[in-house]
Amino acid sequence: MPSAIPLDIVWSVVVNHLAPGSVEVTRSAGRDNIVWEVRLPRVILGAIIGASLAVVGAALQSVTRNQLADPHLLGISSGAALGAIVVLLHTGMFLGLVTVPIFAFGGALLTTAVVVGVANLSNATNASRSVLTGVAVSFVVTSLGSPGIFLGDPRAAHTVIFWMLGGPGLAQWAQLPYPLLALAACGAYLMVNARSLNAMTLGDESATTLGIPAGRFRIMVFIACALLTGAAVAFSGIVSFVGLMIPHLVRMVVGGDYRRVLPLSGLVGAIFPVLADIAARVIVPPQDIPLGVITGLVGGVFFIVLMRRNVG
Amino acid sequence: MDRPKSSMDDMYVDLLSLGTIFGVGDKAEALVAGYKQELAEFSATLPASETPPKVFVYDSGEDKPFTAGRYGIPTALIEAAGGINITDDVASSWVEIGWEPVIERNPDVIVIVNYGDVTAEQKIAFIKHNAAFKDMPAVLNDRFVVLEYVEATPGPRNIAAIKRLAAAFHPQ
Repeated sequence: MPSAIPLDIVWSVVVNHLAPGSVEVTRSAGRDNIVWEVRLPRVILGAIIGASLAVVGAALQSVTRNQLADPHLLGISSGAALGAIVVLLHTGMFLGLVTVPIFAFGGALLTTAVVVGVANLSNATNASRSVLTGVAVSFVVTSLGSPGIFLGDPRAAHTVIFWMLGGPGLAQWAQLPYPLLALAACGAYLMVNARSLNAMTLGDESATTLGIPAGRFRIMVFIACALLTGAAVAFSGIVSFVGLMIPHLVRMVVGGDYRRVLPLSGLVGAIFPVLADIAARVIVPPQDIPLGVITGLVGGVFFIVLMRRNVG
Repeated sequence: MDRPKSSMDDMYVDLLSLGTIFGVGDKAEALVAGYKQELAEFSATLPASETPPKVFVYDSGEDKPFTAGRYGIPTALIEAAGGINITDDVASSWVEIGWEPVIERNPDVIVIVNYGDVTAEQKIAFIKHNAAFKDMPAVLNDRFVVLEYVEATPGPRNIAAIKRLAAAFHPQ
């Protein structure tokens, strides 16, 4: 059975932490810890992750003019997974708890640097070729991860799998500022350039005539998205479909103007993983289904429904 | 039909089967009889306690702990040593759960499974430094036991493991 903590106790814990001494203490330290140290950071992290991934998905769908673009497209997540594999199977957590997030973030950045470098060098900065570059680099990085798993201790292989399936259970107050900062900074950058994102959906030529350096802007958006995705994946593993699905959902309701799509994607993106995380914890208690499983399942079904609508 | 809960018989059956396969059934039976004898003698020395210590088995995992359920041999080891596995209601051998049930069930002792590149010290440090666990009796009293991987999985080292666990559960 999941730890069923009544609503009034939950509120008394929160109030007691925010305004100590104003509420009498009538519940166990265990429950206090569960609500304040586990659930609250977890919900906040889930919201930050969801908002980050949804915003990235929306932005990438614009600059790549590809409906299937999502945060994991450009090899960012494969790079993060590679970082996690190195830590979990080869180096151990020599920097303590933050070792995996640091290496995951580093892996994500490194992979993005490779994608950007290759795209620039092979003059592949237009929409479809940049996607291809990202996919190609992603394949290479993933295949580097495989010998990492193969050569690692087989008894520890499940730790990598569980990391990759994703979930905000790692959330602690001390770590929340990082993904929050990434969301604020990169989200602000994308919002400021929302009109440019609108223009990019019209095509590179049209965008250029409107004064936007299409190729360079695309690379800048890639970098911002990579930073944001890297920060998200570093803390919660690979949460699939949020970045792909939420922008489509939002566009169906408010249309294609990125000045509305971006903030709304962030908002809806924040809500969805929180709900999915609740489902993940109550379906087979006390087991904790990885978040990626729920989002993938719901996302896949949604996608099928979406395709049927487009045909009809 | 429900699977029976794990017990030391799981390990004995493995040895007996190996004995049959390799045609050394007599040796296997003698070995198993020896282990059973050793365990029975050891159990007689354990203090009878009305409140057996609650034990949490921590294999790995930071966002979610990977632990042993009712069908995993650690449950049998812990019970033979006079404790209770806090996750012995989960119908699985080894399973990922959430941290909330662990905090709610307030373990007195934490057993660390040691293997691979993430060391036992790193696992203990992770638990000690996580603010969510600060009020757990196991953390407050620094009661951690490290079992090697081969001790926490069925095999001849289980008997020695039970003795080490008992020493940690009943410090005298």
